[in-house]
Amino acid sequence: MRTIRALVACGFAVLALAGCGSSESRTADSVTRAVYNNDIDSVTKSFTPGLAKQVTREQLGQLSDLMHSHGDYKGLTETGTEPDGAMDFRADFTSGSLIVKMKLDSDGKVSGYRVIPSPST
Amino acid sequence: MKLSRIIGVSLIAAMLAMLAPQAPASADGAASTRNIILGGAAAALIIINHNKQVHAHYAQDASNEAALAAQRNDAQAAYASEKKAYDNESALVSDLKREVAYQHDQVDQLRQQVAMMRPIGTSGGTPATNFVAQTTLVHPTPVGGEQQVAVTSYGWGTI
Repeated sequence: MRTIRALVACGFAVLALAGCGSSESRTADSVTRAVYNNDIDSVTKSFTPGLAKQVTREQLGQLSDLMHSHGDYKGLTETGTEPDGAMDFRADFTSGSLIVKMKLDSDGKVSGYRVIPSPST
Repeated sequence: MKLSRIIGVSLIAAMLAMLAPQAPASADGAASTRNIILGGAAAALIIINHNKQVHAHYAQDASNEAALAAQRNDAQAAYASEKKAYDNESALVSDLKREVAYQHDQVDQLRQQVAMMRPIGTSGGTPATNFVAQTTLVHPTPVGGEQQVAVTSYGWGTI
């Protein structure tokens, strides 16, 4: 009985840790997924007002096409943080990957989002 | 017509006979007969003149009638022509209306396309954006160091 309780507790702990993925990663993933889906409302929802004003449907379509050229979107992996606070991610697709750099302001809004074709692709 | 000539000739002959020197009047039967014939001829001449005037009047009426008919025909033709021109003008106006509506739709579509090209939240000119920019990428080197590489990035904001 004690063993079972311990296993249940461990299970809850694992679930809790899994749900504790960094908010930056979740934000980066949701924005990347929205860009992939060419969903301008979801993209700009996470952006600061100043950055949201810069987004055009044409630009979003170009970026979405770039992502689609690498296949289906699978997910993001955080690869590092730069001294200025920008975070680096690797966006994995079925046919390659892209580098995603994202910067958040003090309110947790995206103040910079850029996609770089991976040198290996 | 032939009868009229015969009568006319007879009348002329009768008038010439009247102008001819006559014998002193005598109450004989031949003179009486001649006078009766001349009176009849004069009456016939009056009747013929009257008929001629009546016919001339009828001819004038017919001529006037023909002229009026021609005028009516001309007016009807002119009306038909004007109506045809009006119909053509109406068709032209309809075509122009359709053309204007088409151009209006085109303008609206172009405005929508321009609005879609315009960044969200702006109603005026397009502010400068850096959708395509050079971004510095830090690459680890085989000897354990780092190498900064300028690469082309796509997105919004400066990082």
